[in-house]
Amino acid sequence: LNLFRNKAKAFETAYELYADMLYRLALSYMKNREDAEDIVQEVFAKYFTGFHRPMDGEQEKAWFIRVTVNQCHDAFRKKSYRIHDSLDDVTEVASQEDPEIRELFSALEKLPETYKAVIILHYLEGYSVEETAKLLGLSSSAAKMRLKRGRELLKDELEKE
Amino acid sequence: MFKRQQIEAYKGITAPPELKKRILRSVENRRKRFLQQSAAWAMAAACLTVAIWGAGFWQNGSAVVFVNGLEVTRQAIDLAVDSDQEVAMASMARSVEPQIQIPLEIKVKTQKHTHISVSEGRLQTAKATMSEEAFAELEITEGGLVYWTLPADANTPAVCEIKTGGKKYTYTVEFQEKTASFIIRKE
Repeated sequence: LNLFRNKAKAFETAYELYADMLYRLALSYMKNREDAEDIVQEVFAKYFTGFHRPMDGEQEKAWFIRVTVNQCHDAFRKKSYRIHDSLDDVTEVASQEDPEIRELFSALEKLPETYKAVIILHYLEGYSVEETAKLLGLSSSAAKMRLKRGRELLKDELEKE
Repeated sequence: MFKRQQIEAYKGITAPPELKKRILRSVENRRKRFLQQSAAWAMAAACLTVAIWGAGFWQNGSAVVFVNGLEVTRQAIDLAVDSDQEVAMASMARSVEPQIQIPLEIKVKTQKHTHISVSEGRLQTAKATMSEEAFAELEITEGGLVYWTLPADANTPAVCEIKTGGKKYTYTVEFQEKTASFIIRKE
């Protein structure tokens, strides 16, 4: 049971470090608060209750991001998500009703899943291309290619807005 | 790419304060279920006992692994529990509650320096106190008991490697969907 106490401590630290970023990531995929909360809850529950190989800070961050992205993909695959036609729910989450955030999520919404995570991590969370590649377990060239293609698609979308 | 205001608005989004409490409640519920199910698994402990015997079996640095008194060979040995109820539990552990942990009790008895490692889960000697951390690798120099705790949602086959006397022995544990049970075999 000491294992649970150790994990509780690790959970506290990990939650402080990653919860907000993972919530934003999940929100970008799921487009509603409830599903984003469910995803983050599941990810941290997995972290808390599962066994993992010892991870350093960067590996741990990568683990959280990859599990979150996979969890979102799983939710789509299993169709276990709430269908929201509008982005009202997402924009309400922002600190204030902000047209900028609506425009941003509207563009992200149209971005294919393949490009979403790289675009979010690089352009919104501020990670370098190398860091983004490492976090997602991609080669540097694959990350660059996805960023390039994603950027082109997003540019088209943002220009349409 | 994005406007500065958009990036700022995005980074201004934070997880709701009540989410942390919700996660902790969820984890606590899972922990309780885990403890209840662990007790049930303990009842089937005899079926999950893997014994690595040294002494007479460790010849020229070779290792022999036994499960329930049966030598583990390339022929798979079913770690399934006996009763229908317990089989159902094994299935449930895999599909409904993927976080359940399956304790495998490993008895080790050797006079040689032996290195045991597992690809999934953790190893802990019976001598270790609860406060000691379990590891994916273990060095043993004398006989004793080693517990291999394997999460039910582990990537399978889970591999246990035993290195002794310059030789390596690999054992794998897999979940069989068909029979809803775990099997162990020597590779």
